[in-house]
Amino acid sequence: MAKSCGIHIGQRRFAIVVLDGSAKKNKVVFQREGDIPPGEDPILATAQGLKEASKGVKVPGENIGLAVDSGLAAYRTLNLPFDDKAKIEDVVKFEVESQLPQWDIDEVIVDFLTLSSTPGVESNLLITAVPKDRLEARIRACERAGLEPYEAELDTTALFNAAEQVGLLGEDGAQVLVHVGDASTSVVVVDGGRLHAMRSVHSGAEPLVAAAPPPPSDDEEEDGAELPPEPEIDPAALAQRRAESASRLRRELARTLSAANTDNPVEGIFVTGLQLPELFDGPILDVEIRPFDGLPGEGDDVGECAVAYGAALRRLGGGSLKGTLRREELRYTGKFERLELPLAVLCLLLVMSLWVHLTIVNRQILWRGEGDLDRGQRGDLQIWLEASNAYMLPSAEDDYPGVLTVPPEEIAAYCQAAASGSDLDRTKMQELRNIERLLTIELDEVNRELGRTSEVEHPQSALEALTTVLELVNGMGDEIGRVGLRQLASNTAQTKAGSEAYVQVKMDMDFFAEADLAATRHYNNFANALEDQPWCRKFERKQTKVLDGGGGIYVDGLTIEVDTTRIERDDDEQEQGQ
Amino acid sequence: MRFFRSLNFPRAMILGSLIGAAIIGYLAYQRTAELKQLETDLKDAPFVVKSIQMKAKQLDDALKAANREGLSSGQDDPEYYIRQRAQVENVGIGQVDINPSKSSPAKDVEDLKFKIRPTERSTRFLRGSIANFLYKLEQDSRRVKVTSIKIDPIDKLKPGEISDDYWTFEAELTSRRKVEG
Repeated sequence: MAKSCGIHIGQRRFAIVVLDGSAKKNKVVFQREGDIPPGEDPILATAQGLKEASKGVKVPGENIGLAVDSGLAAYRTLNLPFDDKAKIEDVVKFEVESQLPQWDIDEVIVDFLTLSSTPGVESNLLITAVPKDRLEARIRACERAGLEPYEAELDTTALFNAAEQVGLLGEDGAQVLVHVGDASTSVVVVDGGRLHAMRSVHSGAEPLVAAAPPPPSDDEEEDGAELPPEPEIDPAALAQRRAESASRLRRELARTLSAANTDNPVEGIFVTGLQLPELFDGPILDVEIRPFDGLPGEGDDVGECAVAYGAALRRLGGGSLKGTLRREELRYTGKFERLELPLAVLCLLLVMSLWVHLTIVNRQILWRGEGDLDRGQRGDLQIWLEASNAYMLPSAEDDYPGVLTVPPEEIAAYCQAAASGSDLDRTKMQELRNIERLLTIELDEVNRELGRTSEVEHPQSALEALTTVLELVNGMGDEIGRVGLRQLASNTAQTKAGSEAYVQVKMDMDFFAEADLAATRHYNNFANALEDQPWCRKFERKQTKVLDGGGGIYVDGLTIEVDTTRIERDDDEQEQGQ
Repeated sequence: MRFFRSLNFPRAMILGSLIGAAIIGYLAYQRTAELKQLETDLKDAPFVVKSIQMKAKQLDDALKAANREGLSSGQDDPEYYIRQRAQVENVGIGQVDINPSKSSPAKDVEDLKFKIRPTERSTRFLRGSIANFLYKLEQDSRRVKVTSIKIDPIDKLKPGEISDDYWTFEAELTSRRKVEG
């Protein structure tokens, strides 16, 4: 169920009504009326009164309606040769300007209500004009009380809507609705359920007593003069003034009735608002005057809050008269609407700052990366690339041999392409890494050609194995004595995958000595030395034979298996061996 | 439609700015990431360039070594390599017969073997010449190994008989390489 709040601010009194329900079915859940406390600042004073009265009222901002005293407004009628609302909105202010000579047209809010219209032909409008400053003061008072109204209207339209809600406005009769305010009285004439006329009488239930101003002329009444602040009240004088007010109101109502010119007979005058018993002293021009009751309220009746009820009803979607006084600069602005301009500026600043950031980053990318080669501006990485190329590649112009004296064509071409910015698929660092990659590929290829790669294990060297054995022989000196070699063979064994590789060295050897025993000892020394070598994989001692004529022994087919991987090498040899 | 009806200038500006900010923000985010990457690259650049120069030097050395071996492009001919080594100073082996063959000691591995014999079987060589020849064959290229040597005196010797130090030889040179499956 939705809640709505109606606020009625008069000259010296206010009323608040909170409805709960819908436009058709609702109930009053809160109802307060009171005096606006005296104070130097009327806005502050009104706000204070509203705030104290509305404690605990929580209604969404869009469901708060304000009805202001019609004593502020001026009413005019206007005929226009069209009935399109948008067109009327466009021209109404200028059309009515000549009828409001007392105000600067830019200083008033002009609203209109359609009294009658012929579709596409003409429209008869009731124009209401309210000074902006007075309306604004009341809206600001509500704002300060925490009850900023979404819409504002005159109390006359709110009164009409309230009467319509209780079924007072029959289609076959005319009615006069009266709301007696503190200082002014609002009068609405309804004919056949439609608005016929509105007026305001500057006379209410709480008239000024001391230093009372002279009664305003009829014209002044209509022009919404603001009343002076409330003076001290003398009860006897007040009673006298109230009687005078009632009398004057009866005269004004009689004037209204006689000028109404309604199509239907006037059924009655229905009075609500503040109590003014003298008003009910018999019919006026044979029209019964009676209280306007039937509105729901906290007690039996909504009492003087009828206008506030009508304003609250309007916010629930009820009521057929749609007064819209919050226009132009007084238009309702929600929290977002108030923030939207600063937000828009902020967003624009955000876009601009992002744009500046993007521009700076783009510039920095140029400085750090390739740069603008067309303009001869080189980025840092481009400089690294060009310096690397210049150092690596030979240059005939500079008579510089380059680190890579004869660069492979593919590498040289890519270096040139990268330096000229032709490789669009890679960043500068990727280009550098690609040059490194190409060099690695080429180096691996050449190393493979040169047998420097470890991807294939090379066969053991028969030459190295044979040389190692002969070095041992040479190094033994007197331990081996004189030897003779009649045949040498060294063969790298064809081993299967997984088995240990070796080289088989085969020799026919003579061991010379004065005595056979000494030669045999030399052979044994050699055999022992072989067996002590880590590279000697296998050695089988052979039977020796004595040389013909003595002087030594000989051995044929002396076989040694050498594992060259176990030969101790110095660093240079090791590098070569790999 | 209601949205567009309430679209006043500030709202249009907010909407446009937010869309613009989202697009520019995305681009700025991307470009900032790119810039950060470039700054990281810039820190790494000296090391990459140093590596390039080192590899260039290594490649230059390797290419020069390949040239020395006669194995550079256009001269990748082992027989040429062998004959060249047979004629260098302190070797003087002269003409040799080369008999190439192939074998596969393991899967995806191929041995190119070259049996080397003096063309004239009766030619005599000093031990030093044979040793130098075999040494040069291995020393000048890392991709070949001498895998078989047979050195016999030019005249057959009996046990205890002293040679006049003239020899003949047979050798086998093996170049092993990986073959792509």
